[in-house]
Amino acid sequence: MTEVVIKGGTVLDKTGSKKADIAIGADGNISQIGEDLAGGKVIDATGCIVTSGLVDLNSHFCQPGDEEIETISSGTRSAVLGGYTAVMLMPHTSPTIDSAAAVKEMQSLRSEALCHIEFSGSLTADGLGEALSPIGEMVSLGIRFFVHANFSSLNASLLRRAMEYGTKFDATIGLTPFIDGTGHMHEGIVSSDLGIQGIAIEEEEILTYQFVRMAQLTGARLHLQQISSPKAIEIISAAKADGALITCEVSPHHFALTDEEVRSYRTVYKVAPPLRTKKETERIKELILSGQVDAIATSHSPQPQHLIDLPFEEAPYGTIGLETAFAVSATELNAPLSEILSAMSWVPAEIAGLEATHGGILSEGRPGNLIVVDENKQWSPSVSEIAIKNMDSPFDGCQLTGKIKDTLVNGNVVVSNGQVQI
Amino acid sequence: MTPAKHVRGVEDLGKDGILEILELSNHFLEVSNRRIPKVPALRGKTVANLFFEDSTRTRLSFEKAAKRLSADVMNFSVSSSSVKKGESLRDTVETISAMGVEAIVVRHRSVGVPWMLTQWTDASIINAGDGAHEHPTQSLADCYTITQQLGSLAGKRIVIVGDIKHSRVARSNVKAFSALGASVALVAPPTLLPPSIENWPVDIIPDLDVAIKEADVIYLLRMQLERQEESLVPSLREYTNLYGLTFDRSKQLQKTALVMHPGPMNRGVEISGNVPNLPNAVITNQVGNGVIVRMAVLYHILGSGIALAGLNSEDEDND
Repeated sequence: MTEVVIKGGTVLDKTGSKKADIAIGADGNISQIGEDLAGGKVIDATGCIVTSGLVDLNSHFCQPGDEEIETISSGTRSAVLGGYTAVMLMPHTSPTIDSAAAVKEMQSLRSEALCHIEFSGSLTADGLGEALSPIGEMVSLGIRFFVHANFSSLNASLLRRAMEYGTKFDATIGLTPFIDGTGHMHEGIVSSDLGIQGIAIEEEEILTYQFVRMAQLTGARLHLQQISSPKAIEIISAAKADGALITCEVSPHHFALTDEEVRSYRTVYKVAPPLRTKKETERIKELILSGQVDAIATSHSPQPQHLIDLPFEEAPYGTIGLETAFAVSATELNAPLSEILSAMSWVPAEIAGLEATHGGILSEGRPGNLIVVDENKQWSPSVSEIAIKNMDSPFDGCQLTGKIKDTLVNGNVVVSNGQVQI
Repeated sequence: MTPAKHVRGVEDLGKDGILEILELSNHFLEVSNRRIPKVPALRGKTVANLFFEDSTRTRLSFEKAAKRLSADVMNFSVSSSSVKKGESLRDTVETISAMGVEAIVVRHRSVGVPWMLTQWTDASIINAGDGAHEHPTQSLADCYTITQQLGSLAGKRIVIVGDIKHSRVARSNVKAFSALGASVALVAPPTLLPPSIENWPVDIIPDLDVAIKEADVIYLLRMQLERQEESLVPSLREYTNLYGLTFDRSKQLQKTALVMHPGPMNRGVEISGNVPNLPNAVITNQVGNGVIVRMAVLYHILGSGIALAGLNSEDEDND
């Protein structure tokens, strides 16, 4: 029996696009893709693209530990509004997700989520970079992605052992080539003008090279997170050409915004790695469009208002992104939608190991994880309307083109005409 | 010109604003030389000194300037405040603002704080130093001192020596000096120059012994002792040898060249013990002029509509 029909849209997936309706059955799976389908609740997709939901590889929802900032519930609310049907959460919570017990607690929170949540484990105990986490016991619970982000405290020999050990489980190691040192922003003209200690882009390139070579040495599967340097992407591309099992992601803010924004002193522009210059953002866009960037990932990291109000040099890193990532990417990249979906859904679904249920190919029998996209819709995000608890966004007031109209998770309509239904 | 609402950076004033402050300073210099150096220009106005970083000298200078203009002064310093109890910058500013203040003078270790404060208060903001970024009233004191001594800054060669990278004084002075037509040269170890200053209106001269000969003003910056611990210089002794204004080196100065320093000095590091006592060293003039230009800044911002000419000192003001 048909529960939902998405009517009048153009269905787009890896195999191409065609005018078609999609029917979803009582089991939440796609029951039919064809013309003139009827029955159940109707979603009008006239003039819109119907495609698989987006998949984020890098979100921070602060639960457990900092629920006043963000929870699984509030974070996934942002996610579905932004067209995400699956998000991978980073393990930097309190406590850190570094054991079977912590993973089980996270898995029990799935009932509070509005979309699928996937978990990553911390590569090292408590994220401190001093001892390996029990990777095997987390793998046995379905975790296959292990990250480390705090490179002020990880020595090369531990990193090598982690990579070697991870190969036994075919685990993916996620690393951000960023050291939280004395700098606060990109080192360059703006940092020199403002007198803020800079972070040289070469640091990211050197770390990327170190990680890439170590992955080649150990045969590890490596995913490099939050790349902001075009040269780092070129280093990764060269290793891929050599057969290394390496993927990488960039964040929308790293190609949509530059270090010039810091002249406003607004802490929403304090991200790790830092916002770079126009030269880098333009080149990153080219690299995305030439297929050298595997995924666009948000690094959605909400901050509480009292930390947003700190001076720039004292504020923590991180800003939100789930609700705006698609529109920012579509606006900035100005490319065929298939190229944007490749980086925001199809490839990240594979990297996250979710290709059976998300991304890629739409066919009968697959779960109804779908979005209806109005490619031409002009809109402007407003923090007062953003769903989550965080009250500031770097894209507040920006003019964007392209908006998620509806989001379906396992066949349930969770966003309808831009409004959360639950 | 329309008075500036804030003096957060040199750019809030621009060339015309700086010249207006220097012009006003002539008047307040005269006031300061009176038997009772106090005028009722800002009577009934409140100026809050909000110092999140210790700076007794700058705070006293602002306090004295405000009092000479008959403003009420509230002093709020970090050691006697709620900030140590976890009160946020925003709460502090909103609290002070709610008490009713016309201007807030703020010193903070972090860049951009004076700009941030304008989100949370309607009061005028005067920057008394934000991180390594700006210290505009120091620049005004320096511009006024140079103008007094040399007539104007136009066409003058000003050589700034030392830790440019961490110096708010240097950043403000490069802007102010070049706005007034001076040609600015920077001399510093490569580790103490900001990494990307190709857009700054300055020449970079590696060798102090070259730069010193062409200087109309040599402006020495304070060398923080911790720069040695951070390996930005190998030793203070080597710094002094290469970049210090030693007595011997001072002999290369042109006869009329001014020696300046924003204070506090590390005698024996960036400046030899006896150099500050040379006839052309105007370091104490800078301090005295600090009070004068701060009076001018407060009057410029808060004193609109009050005619300068009618401002008599308080003993003459009882008719």
